[in-house]
Amino acid sequence: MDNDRQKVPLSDIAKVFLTVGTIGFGEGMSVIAVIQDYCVMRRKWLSVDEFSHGIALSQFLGPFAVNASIFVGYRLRGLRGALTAVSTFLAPSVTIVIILTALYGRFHSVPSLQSALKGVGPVVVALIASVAYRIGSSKVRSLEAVLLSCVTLGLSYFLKIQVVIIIFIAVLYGFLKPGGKHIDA
Amino acid sequence: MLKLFTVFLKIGCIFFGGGFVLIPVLHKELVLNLHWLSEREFIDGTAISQLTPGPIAVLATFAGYRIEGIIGALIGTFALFLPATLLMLILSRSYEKFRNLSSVQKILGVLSPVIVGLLIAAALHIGQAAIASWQGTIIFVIALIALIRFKISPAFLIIGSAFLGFLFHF
Repeated sequence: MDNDRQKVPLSDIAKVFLTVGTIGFGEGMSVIAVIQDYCVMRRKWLSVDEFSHGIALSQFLGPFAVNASIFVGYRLRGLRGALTAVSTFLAPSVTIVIILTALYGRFHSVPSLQSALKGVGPVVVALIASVAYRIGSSKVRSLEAVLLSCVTLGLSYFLKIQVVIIIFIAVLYGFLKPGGKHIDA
Repeated sequence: MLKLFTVFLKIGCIFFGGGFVLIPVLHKELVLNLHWLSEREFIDGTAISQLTPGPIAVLATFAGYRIEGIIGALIGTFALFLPATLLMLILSRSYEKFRNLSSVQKILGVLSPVIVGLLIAAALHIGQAAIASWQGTIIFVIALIALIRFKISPAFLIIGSAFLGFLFHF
């Protein structure tokens, strides 16, 4: 928590992550896009780069969208912020699963919401694309950055390499590449 | 009840990568080893978890509920997420300390372009299945314009499109 950063009320964190937890359909990057939209683009709680670092740190264990919510909460309000973010993020899904499971116990069938989910699909894709566009227009402006994005796209989409391995390669590349703005303290 | 906690805690410790990695692990433990769930229940539980927003890991909520009711659901979910949450808290804490080191800055500088690449890959990947009809294509284009040009809230678009899907069954 930086001291010059304005203190974000815990209730604001709860409100945002309840929303994210309610509409964040799908896994991984699609939820990341929703968090990015609300916390970085709209509220400017974190910078784009900070959030990217958080995504990288989120790769180690467990679902990375959940980890990213912990990271954002911690950056804003420390431990209490992190716990607020993760619990409000999970609350909607957990509640819905408990209700559906109770119904399942009674009727022994899974309710058909497939058509509603089909409607959501294209919006989720648009959301991911819009976040990629907005980060891209501010952060992918050099030849090196364009190459990094393209190579990542190739590794992930065509070669189907896991996100955690790609991030690892990226960190290794950042560590080994010569020069840049590296100054020894 | 304690057994429930330790089983999910153990699974939470070996839970690498995205949530779909979790499905085979939970299956082996809950269906094959412990016989807490039948094959049929497990399949239906996975379907229910996929109907909800949020991570597929809420499969732990389903399993916990089937075994011990609401308390079981809460304990199972809590135990599953506990190891990852603790690790992430430690990482977030150390990030505060090392983020300003110049050598770390150099490494971190490459990450944003990489995330852009990952997002585009995810959009293409999900798009193949999600935008299969002309109605889907129209919703995609409208949503994209609404998000980029008019900055309309994603919550509004998601709920609206869920309604459209429900009404028109495309």
